[in-house]
Amino acid sequence: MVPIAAVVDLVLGVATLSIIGRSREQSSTSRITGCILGWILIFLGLSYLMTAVLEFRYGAQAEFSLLDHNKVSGTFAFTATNLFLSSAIVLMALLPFYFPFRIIKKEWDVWFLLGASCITAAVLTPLHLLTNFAHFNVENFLHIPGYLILVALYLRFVITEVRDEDTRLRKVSMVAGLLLIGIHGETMTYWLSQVLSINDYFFQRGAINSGVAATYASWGGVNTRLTLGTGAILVLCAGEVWRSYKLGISSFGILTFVIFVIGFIAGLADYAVLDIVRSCYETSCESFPPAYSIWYDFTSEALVYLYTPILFMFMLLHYDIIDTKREENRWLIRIIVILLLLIVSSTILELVQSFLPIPDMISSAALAIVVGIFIGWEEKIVSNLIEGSVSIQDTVPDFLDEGTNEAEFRMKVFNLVFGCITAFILVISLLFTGLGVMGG
Amino acid sequence: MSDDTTLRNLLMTKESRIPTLGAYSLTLLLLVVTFGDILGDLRDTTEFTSNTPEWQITFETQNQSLQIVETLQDDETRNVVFDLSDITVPDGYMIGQIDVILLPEELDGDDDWNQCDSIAGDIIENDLTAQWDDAANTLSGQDSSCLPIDLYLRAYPDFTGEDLIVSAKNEYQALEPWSQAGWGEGDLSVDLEVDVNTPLGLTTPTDTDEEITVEVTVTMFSISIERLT
Repeated sequence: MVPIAAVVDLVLGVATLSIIGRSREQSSTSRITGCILGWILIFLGLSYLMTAVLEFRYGAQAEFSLLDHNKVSGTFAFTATNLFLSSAIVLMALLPFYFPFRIIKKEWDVWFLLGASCITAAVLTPLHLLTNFAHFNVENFLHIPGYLILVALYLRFVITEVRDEDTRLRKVSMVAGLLLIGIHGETMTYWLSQVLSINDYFFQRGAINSGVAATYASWGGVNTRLTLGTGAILVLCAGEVWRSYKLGISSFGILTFVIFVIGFIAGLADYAVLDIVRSCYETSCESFPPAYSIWYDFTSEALVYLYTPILFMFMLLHYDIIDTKREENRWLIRIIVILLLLIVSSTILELVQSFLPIPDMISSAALAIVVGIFIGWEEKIVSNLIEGSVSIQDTVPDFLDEGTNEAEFRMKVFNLVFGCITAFILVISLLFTGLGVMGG
Repeated sequence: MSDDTTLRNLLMTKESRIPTLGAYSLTLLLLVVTFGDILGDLRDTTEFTSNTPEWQITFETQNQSLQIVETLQDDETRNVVFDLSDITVPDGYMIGQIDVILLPEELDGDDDWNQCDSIAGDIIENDLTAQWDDAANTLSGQDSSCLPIDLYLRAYPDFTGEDLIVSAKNEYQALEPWSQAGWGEGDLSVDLEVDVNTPLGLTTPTDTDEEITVEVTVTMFSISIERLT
């Protein structure tokens, strides 16, 4: 799934930046959000690209989308994949400060974004390189402020919507929830395991079986992210149950309940295989049953690799972050949507084929049917996606401060800074790999 | 309205304050509990991945024997079979090795009358689960000086009966090579062959056959383990 995720993320990221570049009439908040989402997708895409290289060239694929550090530690692709992922995490942590509302109501908030990105890249990159990624995942602690903002926003707007029966506010609570799912979606599927506090056994297995670092910073970072994911899904679920009771069920509510149920089943499955998980420490490593691996592929892995970019794309289109009304953007949007749906469909078909003995001919026919449906309904799908596409600013203008910072946003500076971070990561990865000081 | 007030209004209202603080408290509680839980595991894991301790494995052995006496005529070859299922293996024990001793009729090792018969014995490779290709095996032997013939077949991989010191991550991995069931099962097949020596002369006794005692000793072992470092 990783190569497909790389292609999807890179295509979406580049297309987003391209469309944002043309959407000059959009508000600076929308353009900043679009740029952040675009660069998150590009960093994730580059990280997945490097991961794909490691999987195919070194056969380093391990359990739970992990890489076998014993096989690839010290290689260029390993260094680059981690550093790109680190940059994506930093941007995801900063996103809630700008979307749906610009929380830092100062003129310098864009400079804060750029400065924070550069400083974290400058601090985290040497830290990881000099410690051979022993503290990787420490950047997950940066998710805490964004989590606090999004949870507060979600609850505040759900409660006000129900109290005032103001349906406009649903758009805000929904986007806060979608952002929580986009950022913490994978960890939401482990919520019951985290509540039962058994995820540490999985960390232990990863450390023994795949050579993943076992340090306070690394485990603390992962544990923080798992806890935030758990907190987020519990809050969303409670909020959606209450809202459904008061106002009726919604599509976002269904999405939340599905993730909640997946997490519940996954928690039971995790508990059931605990002996296998512990075997690495207590006896010798045993493999997971195929059913468990298939479940993981279809839920957590699919969520992080496929549904997260789709979710980001949905936000870009549905919240009018990119100018969906403009005709010259429309064809690009249509291409992106079709491409995305086709890639995801073919991946799901391939996944199904991995455990059901379906002949290639039948799966090709199924894919052809899906292609036909998408082409036939392309206009309708795109229209549905962007129908009612309204920005947060237009939906709830009364919640925006009059002095909202709408200073001119220079996208060129933005792209230049993140382009430089990309180049920095590539060069430093090449250099450190060439120096041969890593992976010892 | 100040920026701070606006921000507070944006993120929290009077109604949402309690649910929001409740959500934060729940998250904090979960964070504290899980952090407390990972500390012990982290310590264990760090020790596990950074050290490979040494373990002393001690073997306690028990023997059981089977015996058969065969009388062979001159130039006769005979096959004798021992069913190893006749051996009672105590709980926790496994078969380690099989020793076969062929004892000729005269056992003084002194061939005064040039009367010692030539005897030979072979352990025949068959379905008996053992280390047939082990270099330490002695599957064939021959003697014509009235001495016993010792044959040896290692049943359990690398078993010598002597204490071992091994490096392993945990007790299970240290014991893993010594936990294989199924070795030493089947029939032990031994071929015996005799060539009787009858010296010429009036005063010497005549000899046309040879009585051979075949003694099979099965060594069984159980293990105990102790961590050294």
